[in-house]
Amino acid sequence: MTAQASELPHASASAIASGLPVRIAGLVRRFASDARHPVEVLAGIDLAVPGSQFVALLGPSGCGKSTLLRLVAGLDAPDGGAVMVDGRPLRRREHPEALAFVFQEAHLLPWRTLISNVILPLELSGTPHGERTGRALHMLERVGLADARDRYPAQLSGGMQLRGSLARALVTEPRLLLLDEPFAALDEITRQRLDALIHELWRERQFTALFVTHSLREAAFLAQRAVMLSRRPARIVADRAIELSGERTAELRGLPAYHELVEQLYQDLLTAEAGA
Amino acid sequence: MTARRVRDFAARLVPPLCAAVALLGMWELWVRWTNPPRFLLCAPSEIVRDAMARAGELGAATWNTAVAVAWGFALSAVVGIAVGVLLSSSRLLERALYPFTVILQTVPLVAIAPMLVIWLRAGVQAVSVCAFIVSLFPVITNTLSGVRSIPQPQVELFWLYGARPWAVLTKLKLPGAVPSIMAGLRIAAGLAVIGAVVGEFVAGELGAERGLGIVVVVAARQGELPMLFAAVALASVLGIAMVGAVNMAAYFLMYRWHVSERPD
Amino acid sequence: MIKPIVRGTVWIALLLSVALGACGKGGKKSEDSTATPAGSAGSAGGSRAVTLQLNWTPEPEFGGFYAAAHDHLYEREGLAVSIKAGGAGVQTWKMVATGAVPFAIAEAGEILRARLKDADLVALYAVYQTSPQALMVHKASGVTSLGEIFTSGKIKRVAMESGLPYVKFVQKRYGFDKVEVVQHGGNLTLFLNDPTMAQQCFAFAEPLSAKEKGVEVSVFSTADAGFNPYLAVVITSGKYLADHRADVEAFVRATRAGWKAYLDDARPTNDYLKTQQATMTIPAMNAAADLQKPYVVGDEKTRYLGYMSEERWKTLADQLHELGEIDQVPDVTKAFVNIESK
Repeated sequence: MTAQASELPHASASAIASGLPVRIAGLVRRFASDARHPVEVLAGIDLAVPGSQFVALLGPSGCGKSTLLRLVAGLDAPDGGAVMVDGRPLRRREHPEALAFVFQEAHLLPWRTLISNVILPLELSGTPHGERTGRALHMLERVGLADARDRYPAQLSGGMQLRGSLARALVTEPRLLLLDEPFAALDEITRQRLDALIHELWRERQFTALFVTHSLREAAFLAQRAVMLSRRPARIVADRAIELSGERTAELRGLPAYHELVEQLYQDLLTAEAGA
Repeated sequence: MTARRVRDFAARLVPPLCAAVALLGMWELWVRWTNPPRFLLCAPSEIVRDAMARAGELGAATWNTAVAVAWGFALSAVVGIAVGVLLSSSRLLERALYPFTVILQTVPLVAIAPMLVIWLRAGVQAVSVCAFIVSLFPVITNTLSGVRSIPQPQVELFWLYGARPWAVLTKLKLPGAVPSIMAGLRIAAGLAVIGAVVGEFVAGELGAERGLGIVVVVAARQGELPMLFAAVALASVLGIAMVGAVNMAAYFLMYRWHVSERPD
Repeated sequence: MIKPIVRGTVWIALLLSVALGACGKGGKKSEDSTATPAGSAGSAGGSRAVTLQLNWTPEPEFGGFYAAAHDHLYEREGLAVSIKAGGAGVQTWKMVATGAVPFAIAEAGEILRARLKDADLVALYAVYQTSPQALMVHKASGVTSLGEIFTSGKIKRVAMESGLPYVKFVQKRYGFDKVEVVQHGGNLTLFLNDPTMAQQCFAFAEPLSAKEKGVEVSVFSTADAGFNPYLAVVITSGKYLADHRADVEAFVRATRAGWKAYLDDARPTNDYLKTQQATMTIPAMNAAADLQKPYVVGDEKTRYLGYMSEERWKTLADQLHELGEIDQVPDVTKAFVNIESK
C-alpha cells in the first residue's frame, strides 16, 4: 500500500509554520532478552510522512508501535536504518522544542501547579520570561483548564491531568507531535471529548502527528492515514488513506462511511495478527 | 489545623502519655518501697529535683550537644544529598563508591572518635564530626533511591526539551527526590543525636564545651544517678526535637502536593 | 505526629542502655546477704582466692601489691590474691559496692562521694600519704606553676580523667575558659607531640616515660596547691569486712609487708611487673619506684605504712563539700579503718 501523500488538509495562506515531515527508512530495532537470541521487534520499517499529516499507528499488542514512536522521538536508538525529521538526521535537531511527546500517563510533575507544569517546556527551552505565563495560560484556556491553573496534579482528575499534559505538549508550538496511547485509560465519553480537542488543535496548528493507539475507532476519527504494523518482527502490513471529510465532528461517528472504515481497519488488524 | 486534626493528634498522644505516667508512677513507688542504694537506682522525682537544681549546667550541656548535633546533621544533609545525587548520575560511579558508604555505616564510632581529637578540637568540633559520620549514610542511600525512583517518562520529558544538567538537577532530580530525602533526613536526625552523645564519651570537652555525653560519664563516675538519667532524658528530647523539626520541614515542603502529608 | 513520641521512647531505652553500659563496668545489683563476692570460694583451711581490682594499668603505684603477690606474702597469710589491671574510666568503687570484687584501689575523694550515695565502702590502707596527682607540661612551654597552665594562655589543651575529684578542684580554682579540656585515655602520644598540651600524671611516673621518649617536662602537683587526698587506697565493702574480718586483716598485713619489700628493693618486683603487662619500661619503673618513696612513706604524722588519719579525711570532706562534690559533710570515721600489723 502506498502512502497517499496528497491527502493534506487545505493549508491556509497565513504564516502558520507547517508540520515537519518525517522520513523513516529501513528502521530496525532489536532487544536483547535473557536468551542469547535478541528479539527483533522492528524488522525494517519504511514510512514517509509529509508535513502536517495526521497518522495513526495501529497494530496488535506488543508489536512495537510505541518502540517506533520512541525511535522517532530520539528516546531510543535504532539498530539499523534512520529517522530523518525535516530532512535532518535526528541527532542534529537544533530546536528540540519543535518536537513534543505525549506519554500514556500525564506525568505532570507533582510538586508544580498545573500552570507551572505547562510553563516547564518554555523554561527548559529558554523562552523569554515575559512570554511564559501568557502562552501557558492561553494553552490552558484552549484545553479548558484555565480555572484549575493553580491546582496541583494530585487535585486533578485523570482526564484533567491528560488535558494538562496536552497543554504542556503544545505550549511550545511544536511542529511534530508524537502521542503514545494517551487516552487509553479514560472512559469512552472523556476519550471522545479529548479526541475532538486534539483534532481541533491539529486543524489550528497543523503540526505533523503520529498517534499510536489501540482503538480503531479513535484512529478512524482522528487520522488521515492509518498505518498498521504486524506482530513481531513488525513490518508495515497496511497503509490506508482515510477518505473521510477534513473536519471531523461528533456526527461523523454516525456515518456509514465511518463504520465501513472501522471495519476495514479491523480486517487490516486481523491480517497483522496473523503475521506479515 | 482542622478540629479533626487536633482531635486525631490528641487521640494518638493520650494513650502513650498515660502509659508513660503509669510507668513513671510504678517506678517511683518501687524505689520508695525498696529503698535501693542511691548509686544503683533513683526515683523519677529525684531526677526532676536534681535536674531543676542543676538546670543551668544541664541547659549548657544540652546546648553544646545541640550545637554539635546541628552541625553534624547539617553537614550530613548537604554532603549526603550531594553524594546521593552524584552517585545517581552514573551506575559506574555508584558501583565504585557505594561500598565505601557502607563501610562508613559499619565503622565503630568509639574506635574513630579518639583519632578525631588528634586533628580537631575536642568538644563541639570533634563531636560534630562524630554526629556527621553516624548520620551520613541514610541520607546518601535515601537520596540515591529517591532520584532513581523518578519515573522514566519525567526524565525523558526533560531530555526531549534539551534541558541542561543543572536544570535537570534543580527542577527534576531534587524536587522528585524530596519525599525520599526527607525520610532519610528523619533517620539521620535521630542518629546525629546518638552519634554526638556517644562521640562525647570519648572526644568530648570537659570545660566550656561540655555536652550531655560528658555529663553522663561524670555522673556515672560520681554515682549521681539522677543527673545521669536527666542527661539521657534530655538527649532523647533533643532527638525528638530534631525529628520533629525534620517532620515540620517535610510538611511545609510537601503538604500541598504529596500524599504522605495530606490530612486523611 | 505520634512518631516522635514513639521514637522518643525507643531512644530513651537505647540511650539508657548506653548509659547503663557506661555506668556499670561489672556492676551487679547489690543484693543482700546471699551474694558472695567473686572468687571467695575457698575451702576452710586452704588459700582463699580473692581479687584485687586496680584502677590503672600495672605501675610502681601498685608495686607493693605485686611484691606481696610475687614474694608469696599473701599466700603466707592464707590468701590467693589475683590482681586485675584497670585503666582509664574503670570504676573500681562500684565493683566493690556491688560485691563484684572484694578488694579494689580507689581515691579517697571517690570513696567519700560514693559513700554518700549509699555505697558501702570502707578504706583500709592508703599507699600514698602525699597525693602524687599532678599535671605535666613540656618544659619548653615555659609554664612555671599549676595555675599558669590554665590562665597563661601558653597551654591550649589539658588532658584529664573526667569525674576525678581533683578536676573539680582545679576547675574551681583556675577556671577552664582558656583551655580545651579533653578526656585522658591513658595514652601519651598526643601529649608528646604537642608542646601546648598539659597532661594528667603521677609526679614520678609519666614524666619519666616522657623523658625516655625525649620530652623534658615540668611537673606541678595538686598537693602543693592544697588538694591532698589519700590516693591508691585499698577499699572493701562494709559487708565483706564484717563477714571476713580475719581475711581482710590478713590482706592488709601482707600488703604492708609487700610495700616494705618494695621500698627496700623494687627491682625484682619491677621485673615481675613487666611480665604483667606494665607499659612503662623497667628502668623507668625503677626510677619511679625510687622517686615515689617520700610519697609512700609520708612524714612524722604517718604512724605506719598505709596509715590514715581522721584529720586528713575530715579536711578532704570539707574541701569536697566546698567544691560542691558532696552536698553534706559525712562522719568520716565510718569511712576508714586502720589495721595494724602486729
